[in-house]
Amino acid sequence: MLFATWQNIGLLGLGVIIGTFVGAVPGMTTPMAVALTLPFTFTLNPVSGILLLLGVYKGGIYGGSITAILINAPGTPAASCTVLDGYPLAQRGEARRALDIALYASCIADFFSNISLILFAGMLASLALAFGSPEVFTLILFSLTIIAGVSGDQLLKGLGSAALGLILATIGLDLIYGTDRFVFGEVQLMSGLNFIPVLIGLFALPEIIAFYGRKEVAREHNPLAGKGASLADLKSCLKSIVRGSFIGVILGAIPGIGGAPSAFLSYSEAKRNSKTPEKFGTGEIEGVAAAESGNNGVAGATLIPLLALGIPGDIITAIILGAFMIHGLRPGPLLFQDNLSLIYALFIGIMLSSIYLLIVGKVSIRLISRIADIPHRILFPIVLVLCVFGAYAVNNTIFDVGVMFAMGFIGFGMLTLKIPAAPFLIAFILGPLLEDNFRQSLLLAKGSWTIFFSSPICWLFWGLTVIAVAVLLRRNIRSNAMRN
Amino acid sequence: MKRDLYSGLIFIALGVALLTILVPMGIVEPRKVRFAALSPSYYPRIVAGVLLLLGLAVAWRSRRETTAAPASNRHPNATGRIACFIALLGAYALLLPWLGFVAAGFLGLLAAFWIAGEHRLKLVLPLAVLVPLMLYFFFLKVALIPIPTGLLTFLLQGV
Repeated sequence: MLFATWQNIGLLGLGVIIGTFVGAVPGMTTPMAVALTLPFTFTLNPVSGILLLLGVYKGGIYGGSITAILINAPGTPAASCTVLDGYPLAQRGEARRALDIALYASCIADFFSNISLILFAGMLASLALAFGSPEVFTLILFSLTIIAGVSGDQLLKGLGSAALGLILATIGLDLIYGTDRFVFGEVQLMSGLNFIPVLIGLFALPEIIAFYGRKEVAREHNPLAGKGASLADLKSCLKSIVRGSFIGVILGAIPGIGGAPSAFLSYSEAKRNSKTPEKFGTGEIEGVAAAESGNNGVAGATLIPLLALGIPGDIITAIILGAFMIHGLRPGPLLFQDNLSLIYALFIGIMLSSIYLLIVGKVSIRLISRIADIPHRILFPIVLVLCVFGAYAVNNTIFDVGVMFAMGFIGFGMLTLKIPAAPFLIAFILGPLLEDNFRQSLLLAKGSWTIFFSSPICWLFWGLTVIAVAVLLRRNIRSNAMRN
Repeated sequence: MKRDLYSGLIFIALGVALLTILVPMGIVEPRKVRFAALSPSYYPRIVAGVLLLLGLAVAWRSRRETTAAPASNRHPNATGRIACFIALLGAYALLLPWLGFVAAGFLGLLAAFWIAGEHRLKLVLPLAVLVPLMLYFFFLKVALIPIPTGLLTFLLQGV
């Protein structure tokens, strides 16, 4: 039993605690927490390291709702829907009730999501064994359409950001001919840029730099007064929780959708089906339950495309993909064939994470509300030093610290110009796979592009890509028209 | 600030720089390439071309863009604070190999607290000492990753 060690059980719990605490601090995002935890997993075995990160992921998604309810500041974008009813409830002195329902909804949705992962990931992986280079190329091309999902209303800038990520991923030695690409005589660049300093630089540093340009607003203290949620509350919300869980699972399994749209869809469905829709937005407990179940329902499901196909569904799973690669593992169908025991260990850990979430959530609510009060002027300088140590620990080289700082400046520039950073990172991670399979296919076909249309699987992914692009363009044109 | 216009111009400048300078100078072509598509510069050229086109599209779309108003939560001395912090990051990166991680962390933390407006020495001094030391010992003893100690080697060696 690969899972049954005290280290695994303890680290998973620790991950949930870290994620919950970090997610509860506004300005500290879940991807930032996962990125900062990553260097601590290098010396762990793969199962322990990945479970630690999964714990941070799960905890972070729940933690974001705590400050959304208490101080009207969602810790994560996905928790922004929870604010709508959670904060009015807290203002009425029912913060405890709202937090309890948010926790129960999160745990139930997380459990549903984990079950779906266990049921569907293996099936999808066995199908993916029929994939060759051209099929993988078209699959990755399709998966790059997730960039649109993480670009928000900045689609063109998101695509530009992705192009920059693809270019940066080409630095190093050419895989076919072994010649230099953008190395310019720097030996450290020959093996390319390590993704962790790039990641930390792009996500953590810009937030810290941006903090220095903002006024720090004194937070209103919200004592956790009032009663907790009753069984009747849970019963009244159960239908919305189950509906939200299914919405989360379906949207989570589609790469690039993420927690926020799922939470809003679940919320709007709950409101549409409610007998008292007018109460939504004024402190309706069912609104909190719907938002949180939709938000947490994606957590397990986003791992389906990651484990089965090696495609990250969102930015956090992209980081977890990097963690697999650091440990010499490549998620995808072959992982199910060669490392089945590891997959089962992860499944058991993921199931256990729902229970941890319930325990950590119940125990830590009071403490977390105090942690969230740490002023950013103390928190962010400490995070800066943590970033420096973390970037160095990747390869034991100060060069990586320099890369992190450089990426931090670029990331801050992108933040200032509202160029989304997530497409950059997704393209940076998927870029080498895209190029390798592109060139391998052309090598097989002696330079003929017809190989990319040679099998039904290729056609399927071309079709899906065209449909995805058409839908995205339509959505973009509509939103532009509405804005104008 | 006209964010879309500047973004578009940056994409255009990078696309042009890649196509005309960086790809020809930065990518070493093998003597003989079997198919043009297998050349090491083929894929970067495609991406650079796409970047250039996207830059043109972003710049074109920006023609109706109005100047964005400054954020309501902007600090009165935002530019000065950001400039000081960026200078601090530069100094941190430059001095890190010489000072080592613990000493650089201590000084970096003190300066970062100071720029952020946290001037209570009773609070910042212990934090500036403890945080880098705790991280140093965590990486050294738990993660077994040796961290350069620079100036403090005489103090930390053998601990």
